[in-house]
Amino acid sequence: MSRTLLELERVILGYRTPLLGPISLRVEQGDFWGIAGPNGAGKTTLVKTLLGVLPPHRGERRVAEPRPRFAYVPQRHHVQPDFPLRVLDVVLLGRTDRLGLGRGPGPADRRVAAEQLERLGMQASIGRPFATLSSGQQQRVLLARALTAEPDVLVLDEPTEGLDLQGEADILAFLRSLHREGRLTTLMVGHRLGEVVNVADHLCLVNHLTGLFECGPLAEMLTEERLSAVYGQPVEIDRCAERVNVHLREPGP
Amino acid sequence: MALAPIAAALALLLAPAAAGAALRVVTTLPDFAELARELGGDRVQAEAMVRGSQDPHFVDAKPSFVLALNRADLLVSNGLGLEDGWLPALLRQARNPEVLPGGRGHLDASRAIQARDVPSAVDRSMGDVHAGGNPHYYTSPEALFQVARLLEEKLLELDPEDRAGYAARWRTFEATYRERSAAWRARLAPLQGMPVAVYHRSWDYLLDWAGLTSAGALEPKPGIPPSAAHVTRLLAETRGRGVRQVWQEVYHPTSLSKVFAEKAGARLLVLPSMVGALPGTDHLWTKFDRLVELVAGEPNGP
Amino acid sequence: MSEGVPFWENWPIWWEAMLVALLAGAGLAYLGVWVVLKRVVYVPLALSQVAAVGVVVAFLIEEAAGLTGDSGWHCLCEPSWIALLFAVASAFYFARTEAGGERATGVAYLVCSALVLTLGAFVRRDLHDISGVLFGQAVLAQLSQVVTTAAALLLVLGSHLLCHRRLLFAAHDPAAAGAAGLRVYRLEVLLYAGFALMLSVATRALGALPAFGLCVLPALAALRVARGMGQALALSTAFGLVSAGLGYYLSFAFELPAGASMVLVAGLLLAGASAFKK
Ligand SMILES: [Zn+2]
Repeated sequence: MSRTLLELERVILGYRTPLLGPISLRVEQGDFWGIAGPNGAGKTTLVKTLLGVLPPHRGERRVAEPRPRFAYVPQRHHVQPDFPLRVLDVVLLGRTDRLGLGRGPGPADRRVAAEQLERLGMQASIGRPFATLSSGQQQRVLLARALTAEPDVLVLDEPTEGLDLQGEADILAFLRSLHREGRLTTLMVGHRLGEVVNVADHLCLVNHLTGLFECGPLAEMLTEERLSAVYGQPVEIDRCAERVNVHLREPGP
Repeated sequence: MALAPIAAALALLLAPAAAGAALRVVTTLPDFAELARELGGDRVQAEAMVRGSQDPHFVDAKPSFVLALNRADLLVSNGLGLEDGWLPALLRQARNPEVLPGGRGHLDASRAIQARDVPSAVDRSMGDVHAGGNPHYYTSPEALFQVARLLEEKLLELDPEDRAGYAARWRTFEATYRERSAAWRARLAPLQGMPVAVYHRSWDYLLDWAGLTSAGALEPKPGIPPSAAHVTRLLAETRGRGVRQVWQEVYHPTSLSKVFAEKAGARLLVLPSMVGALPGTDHLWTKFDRLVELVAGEPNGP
Repeated sequence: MSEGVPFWENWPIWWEAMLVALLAGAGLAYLGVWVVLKRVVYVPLALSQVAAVGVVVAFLIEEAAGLTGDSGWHCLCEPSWIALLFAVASAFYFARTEAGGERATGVAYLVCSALVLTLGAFVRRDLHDISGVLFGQAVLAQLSQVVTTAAALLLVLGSHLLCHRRLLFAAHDPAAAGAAGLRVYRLEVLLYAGFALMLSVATRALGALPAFGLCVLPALAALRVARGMGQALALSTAFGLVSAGLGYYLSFAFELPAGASMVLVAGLLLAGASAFKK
């Protein structure tokens, strides 16, 4: 029996001015939610509201008791770049809320951090300055930091943005395996709809410009009518083998 | 910060309407404006550009000053380089040849006194704001009286019609001065020879007049901020000499003088160097009354 | 003046000033690392204007209530305390601003400057009375200033010792820290309040230039060479101590203005660190 970890009820997104809503959705343990929509559609606002970092403009956000542990992987450029932190320092920050006041990380914390870095293939860079890493490497380190928190819910904001094809595929494959093997509840904002639909089992389509918000199981959501409404343009869905491809329909002659 | 400067500026602007036959006198220091009012009575309209609480070495020139200078019949300046940083530019803009140095309507008050510490041309040094000699003679009643003599002549030259009125006012002024200055001296007499440390050398003329001695200045050179070494040396020197008072103007910071006075076992006195520097010093006589009161201590006090 | 003044012999005269400079230098340089990393190096300028508003308000209260030096109320609205209160309270404002907060800093600076001038028109006292309350000099100090500076330093270091990792996470990645359940806003308030406290105390003891200089230059120098946050904080604190101590000594030896020579030493350290980096 799955349990509800997080619930939004008739929530209106927005900091001071309402942006989008009302939104109702329920995240169950083990779900993998993909969140997609055009640029500037309010995806990050939705994620921050889900996390509780941003209070809803109106409506209610409910979290299960005991409170599940959230870990957030922000877009890389939201991290302050000048800090003289080594890779291990960054990853260990994931343990912060587990440490008492005035306490530093102990051997157990370091062990978890090293394990996660190893899973992501970053163990060789453990002592390197974070700022000198490539985008793909920084992304992995931030992911390792989130996993080091041993979270109940993993939340990612465009984790593949700015990566090359191989980097993108690696990250997506890793997330899929995390979900399959560890039943880790995951919420991921997708850079492109195409990447989201191939890893998620639930989908949120967001566009505050048209006031549109829809979400539900992937199978129900993934229809050409719905997608066309979200993007305001005709959208085609191809299914070949295991992969789903989504693209704009060529305009007629 | 008070509204006084705004009111003063307005007064400068509105002045000519009421002027009639009166002499329009603009002075740099408020003390000179007071003198002009004393000696000229209703024959003059006097306004000062510097407020008593301002450092006269550094004054922000205001457009209203230019207007006042343009209309002035007489400009009384302190001289000895005190206004060198700001007055020349104002005079250039004022387009009034009468009040330019050397003009009939320009009175350099320092001509009335014997300047102290006039350096030879060679030892002018960087940052010393007293390169033309110590310009702060207006802290001494005697020096101001000498300035009054000079000003009286100048006013008569510019406004000869009221000779009798000027003479009468002069007699009153001189009598008041004699009486007050005797009282001030009497009040300060018990302190004869007392060494006094100062922040800026604004007080040398007054110290001389009062028969007190200077134990040195916190500023290593006039206008140069105090350095640790200099202050330490001064403290070491003054400790042996029994310095009981440290004097400074209202416009210099008290943070250092306070600690210095404490370490020297002395009292810090913030004294009115010019008319209007402290509340209740809006007049020539009250400025020195207050000053003497502060230095000599309250009648029954310490 | 050519006659030299023996430095060590005269220690009873300068020891308080030296100690105040060392304590303030260490505290400011330590906090400077945070200030530089959060890219809010102009917050000190805004803070000094906030404090100036506090002084003007205190003057207004004093004059409105006709308070004299003898009444007990006079102590309560002692201008320097009100200034400190205003500066520390502004932490609630600065903590709200997003990382980088240049706009918020600019707004605070401008609004407070305008407030000082407009409110100041109702105060009988002069502009130099305001600066007299806020700005000190680094030449001589009293024992009470040593105590105040040490207390401020202890408060700042104590709170940071307790919350170091939380502060670090919140500063480095506020969204992730918030998601992990950290009270990011409270941590920011803690950081800015400590900073306002240290800066106010140091400005009152040393003056504006050395306070600003010691909170920016040693941190920049340390960040050039440090390979970790702990190293950066330790190095910056050490640089702050050296700048303050050596600066004071040099000002003594060469008759320089004390505050300026501290800033100069810090500047030389920065140049040295940059050269070392190359
Ligand atoms: Zn002078």
